[in-house]
Amino acid sequence: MRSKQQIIPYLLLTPALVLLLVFNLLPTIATLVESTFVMSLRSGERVFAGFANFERIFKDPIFWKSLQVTVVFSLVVNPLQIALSLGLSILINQRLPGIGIFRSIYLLPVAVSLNVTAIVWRLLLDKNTGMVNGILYQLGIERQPFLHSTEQALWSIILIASWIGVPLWSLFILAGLQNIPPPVLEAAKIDGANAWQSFTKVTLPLLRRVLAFVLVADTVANFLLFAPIILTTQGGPQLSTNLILYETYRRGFLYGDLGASAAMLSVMLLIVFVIVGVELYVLRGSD
Amino acid sequence: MTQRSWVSPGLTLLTYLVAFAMFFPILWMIMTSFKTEADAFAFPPQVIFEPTLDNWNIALFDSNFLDHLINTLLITLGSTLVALGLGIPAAYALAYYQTKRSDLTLMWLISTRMLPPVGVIVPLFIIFRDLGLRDSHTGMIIIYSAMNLPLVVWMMRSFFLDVPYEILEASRIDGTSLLQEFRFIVIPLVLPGLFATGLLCMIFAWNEFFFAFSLTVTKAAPVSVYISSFKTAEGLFWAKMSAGATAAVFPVVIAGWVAQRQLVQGLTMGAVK
Repeated sequence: MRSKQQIIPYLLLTPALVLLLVFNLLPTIATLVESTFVMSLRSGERVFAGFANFERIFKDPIFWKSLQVTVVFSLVVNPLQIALSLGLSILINQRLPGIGIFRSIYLLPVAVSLNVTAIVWRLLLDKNTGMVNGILYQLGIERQPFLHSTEQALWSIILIASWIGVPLWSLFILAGLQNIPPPVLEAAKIDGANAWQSFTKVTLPLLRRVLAFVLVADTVANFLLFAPIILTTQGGPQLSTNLILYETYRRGFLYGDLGASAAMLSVMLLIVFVIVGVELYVLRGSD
Repeated sequence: MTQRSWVSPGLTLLTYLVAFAMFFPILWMIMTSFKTEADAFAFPPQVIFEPTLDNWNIALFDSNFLDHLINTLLITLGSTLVALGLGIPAAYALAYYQTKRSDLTLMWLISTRMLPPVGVIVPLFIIFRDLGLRDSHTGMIIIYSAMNLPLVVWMMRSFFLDVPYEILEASRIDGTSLLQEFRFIVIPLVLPGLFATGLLCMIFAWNEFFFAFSLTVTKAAPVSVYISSFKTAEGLFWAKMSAGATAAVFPVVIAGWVAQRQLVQGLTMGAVK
């Protein structure tokens, strides 16, 4: 009887674990292993190369440029998205006439497929006939190149990424807001707190756990941003939107250098785990 | 009523403006889908135009759109059922049979979600080829199940943890079997959460792009892959692409509209713990 009890959890877990083992862990390990191999030019065979791929990418200015773009992108997009998500979640949490309609449409960017998103924004930001340029033209401002300029492309990507990301993360924060018992806020009001005080002294501290989750998840999601890039700029113009994950794709699939691609991916995964580790540590430390 | 008293008109206006700004890109796509290709290319862009149904006709009926829609439906529903079917027992085990190892297992499960699809696509491609899964519904159902499984386990585990232990203990003393306990006590209590989890799985599977793009050709290609194909040597067909894209978005919008309340409620139950 006792041994039967102990087997049950394993029986329940096994199917799920097997699926992930074959279709997730196995391919991941294969990629990590691939990072230590190079394709021999002479024989066309894969040869074990130790850390040669890593040495190669660390000497590669394109890799560093791509990391730099990713850091700039992350430093702008994460604080921006979290601030906007918090604002949006407060707006949706109101009881206004017609708020039901708003709640239904604000999630649209999340619900829409990423290549539809790409179509939508290429329509809006097109350098010749886009709607945004139409508005600028009516205001007497010159047409802007947006996704086609080295100065504006990354900002356009930030805009697109936020249009998708902000509603998604605000959904989680909204859940956190609705978890706050109304008596708590009423008590603050009775004690004479104004709206700003009750927000900073009551609401924000109670949202800490949700915000911590959103911060970690958002950082990872943005570090691994890929689809908007491949569907709009393909890293260009002049590598100005060549985020690190796109660079691994470019290297592996467009240039066929699987060793370098796998090495970059290994470095990237390490960075992700370090970021998440540090964020979790810092947030836990202040608990 | 007390709630509304402190809401200022400025905030109300802001809310409506934000809603419109967020909706505008989609609205513009819908409008473009009713334009002729020439109107879609006009500058300055036309807000008032003579609408046409030609693009919709071509995108929906003069093409394989419906086949791809059926692919998407099969893959979305199939993978959601598989992910729930495998994920719920696993979540149950992790919630109610806690050991040191179960925490590690959970960590590993969640960390698989952080791996970018690009990183596993080459080995995955080889596995798919060897198992004969390329361009097949089964293959896509498997890969989307694997994609959504960590989410299911993570969300369902936290819902299970919210079930008061006393209720389970009482029923165990009464001699209910595991299956009865699960079916008649636990499931009814976590139903809103289950619903939210399934809905998120469906949205993610419906919208997934990279796996579909890499692992299907035509037979199992979902709508998301198909709508990008309105490109020819002469260039992009904005209006037709918009019609196809709008049609692809439509079911998700309906699902979202029906379910947004349950989704928030389900997430409030404890997914963020």
